[in-house]
Amino acid sequence: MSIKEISMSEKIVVDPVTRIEGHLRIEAVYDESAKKIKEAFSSGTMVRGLEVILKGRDPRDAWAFTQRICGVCTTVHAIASVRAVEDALSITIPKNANLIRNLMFAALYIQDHPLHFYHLHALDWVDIVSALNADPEKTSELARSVSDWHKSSPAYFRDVKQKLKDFAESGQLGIFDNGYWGHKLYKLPPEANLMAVAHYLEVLDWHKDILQIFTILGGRPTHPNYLVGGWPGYINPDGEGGLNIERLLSIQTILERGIEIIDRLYVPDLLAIASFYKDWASYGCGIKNFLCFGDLPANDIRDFKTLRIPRGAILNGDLKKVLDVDLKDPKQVQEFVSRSWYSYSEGDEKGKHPLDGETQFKYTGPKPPFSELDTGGKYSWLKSPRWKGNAMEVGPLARVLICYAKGTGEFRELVDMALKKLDIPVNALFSTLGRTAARGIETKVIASWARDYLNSLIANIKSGDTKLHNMEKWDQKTWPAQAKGAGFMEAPRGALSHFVKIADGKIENYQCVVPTTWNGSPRDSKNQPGPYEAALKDTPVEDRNKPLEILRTIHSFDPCIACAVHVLSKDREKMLELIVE
Amino acid sequence: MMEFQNAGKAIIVCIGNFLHRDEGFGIHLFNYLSGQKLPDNVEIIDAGTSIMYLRPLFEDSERIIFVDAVVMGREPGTILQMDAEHIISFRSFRPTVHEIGLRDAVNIIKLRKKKLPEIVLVGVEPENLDEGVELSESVKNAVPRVVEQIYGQLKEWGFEIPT
Repeated sequence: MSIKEISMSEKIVVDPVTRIEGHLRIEAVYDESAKKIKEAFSSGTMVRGLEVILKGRDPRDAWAFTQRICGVCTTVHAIASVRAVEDALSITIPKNANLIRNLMFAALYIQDHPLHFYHLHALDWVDIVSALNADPEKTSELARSVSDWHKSSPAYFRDVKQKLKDFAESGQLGIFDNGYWGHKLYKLPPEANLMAVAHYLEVLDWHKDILQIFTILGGRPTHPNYLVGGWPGYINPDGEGGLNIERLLSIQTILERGIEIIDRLYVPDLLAIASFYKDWASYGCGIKNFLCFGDLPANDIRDFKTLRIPRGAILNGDLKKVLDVDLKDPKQVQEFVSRSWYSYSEGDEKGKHPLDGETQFKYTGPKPPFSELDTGGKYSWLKSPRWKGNAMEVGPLARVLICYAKGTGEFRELVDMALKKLDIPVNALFSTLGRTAARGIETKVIASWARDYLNSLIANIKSGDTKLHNMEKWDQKTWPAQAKGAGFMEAPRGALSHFVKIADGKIENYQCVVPTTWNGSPRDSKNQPGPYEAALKDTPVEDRNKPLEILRTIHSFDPCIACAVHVLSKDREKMLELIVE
Repeated sequence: MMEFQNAGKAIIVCIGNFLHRDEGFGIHLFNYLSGQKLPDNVEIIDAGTSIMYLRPLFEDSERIIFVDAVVMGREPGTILQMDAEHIISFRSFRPTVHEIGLRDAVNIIKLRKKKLPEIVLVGVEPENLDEGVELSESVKNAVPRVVEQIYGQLKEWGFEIPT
């Protein structure tokens, strides 16, 4: 389990929050008599400084650097980066390139969300140890009542149980050793736990398969290749090399297997598990303000009306009104540092639009090791992005609500189906459970859209269009002396934006505003809490030494701190090692 | 089915975040090794920080060398070597700065395979993890010794290093 410190005060400290990428610290003020959280503080305990690296570099290379920000959100920073540069230089990419980017987008969702669910979040709901008591016959009955997935025989579950038993008997639970097993908040019967463990292993197996899409299209399973102006490589329908029909058809096979995993494992498991945790539809509500930049353009990303995931903002949970969002309006997106370890040249209280953003470090926190942060002052390495002054939640719930409000695609239908199945009202979506359910719902919709992008790509290539890049503005001589652009994309974790200023062919300023900065942000100059902080307020905590409730809500956001901050390990522990002199 | 699809093969998995100076040590080493002759059955992989995602690709190998920066509080540039059992023996602690990384990946391989591949981590104590793409002197100076260490391990496994 994560290292916990129970300090002299009433604070519960979870640091680091485990099963996330990067380093997040939560300090929660605990009301002992009411057994709930009075207020919470979220602190990214490491710094971000990408801007410093990119200054002075060729903007056409920025994607390769930004993509290295994080190993989990691989691809998303590359897309946002090439879009920012294309926006600055008014480059329109060819139809094929846009279809491939959309296909990569959909493949990323198919890969990333189930992995988050089974490997990072499910352990907050599934008790691995309890699975050892499951009856394989009954597990088989349960599995068959939930889904028509082919692996559901008693013999199959007997095998899985044995495997788990062997593993547990080896004296260590290995990958499962960081859970609060036996906590009374685990509500699933042993059979549901065993079913979830079996599917955890299935998804691990399948993962290798889905990665191939990135290799085929992007040349690498992670950190794939991108190109300003289009897509790298070439289309070669009937040839051996390049993107040929054979490779496109193999993508089709991989996609169908991925869609099967989502339709027959992920979504049924999600609903089955959620039905035991309906009380979590009343916790983790948060700020009820939602922001989505939109994605999946029909052709040009700047043609906002054609974005299949629409752009918009919702305030105070009002689903009747979706507000217009303009990334370049200096009054809309602003980053504040009044509670963050940075300083602004014009004072720390005023927000700055990212195009005029500054990255001046100013650490005023305690010297490590320390037990508590001074949450009355600056206390995080995350800045506080705000939209028109409001803290905003980004991510699956924001997207699903905006799509629901706008009646996009199958969203309304699927959300209503899930609500009906769980017998909960629409308002219940503003919750930990709603956030986790939204992730499954959008995966199902977007996975089915992947088929459209692949089919359109094949049809377009068959019609004779093999153009993959637009090189008209590749040469720096064609660029204006000064240019600025905003690139955005809906990363699995939420709205991501990159801002670039180009002067004389070089990067003059580069700022990334990432999903976890929106969601994990500290308070701002108006003392408004960020989404994590708000979502934890009033959450009951049964056992302050095992704050499972905090993990459930924080993991429902799918935190990814690596891109929000940089990595610095102060942890040191005795180990056996060989020192090579 | 055979326990390892790629029996007789070794892979060198280079791990690191290139944007944080010595944190990117594995990637610098990848770039160096890319220009060297390696035995036929040895493949090098630039894993970046996607260890968890790349796990399926390297779990079929019989022998794995991970290369990474390891914060242990030693003199910067100190080279550390440890095996799989050591990697997974850290409980609430991560030997490398990639949280859902190496330890979990090794544990998953362990859960899925009856026999664990032979795993060796060759690590270097970093000096500077600030933003930047250059290695600090102490860590840069460790490169030849790390390469020697890797070659030594490969030889121990019976690979011949081409000259």
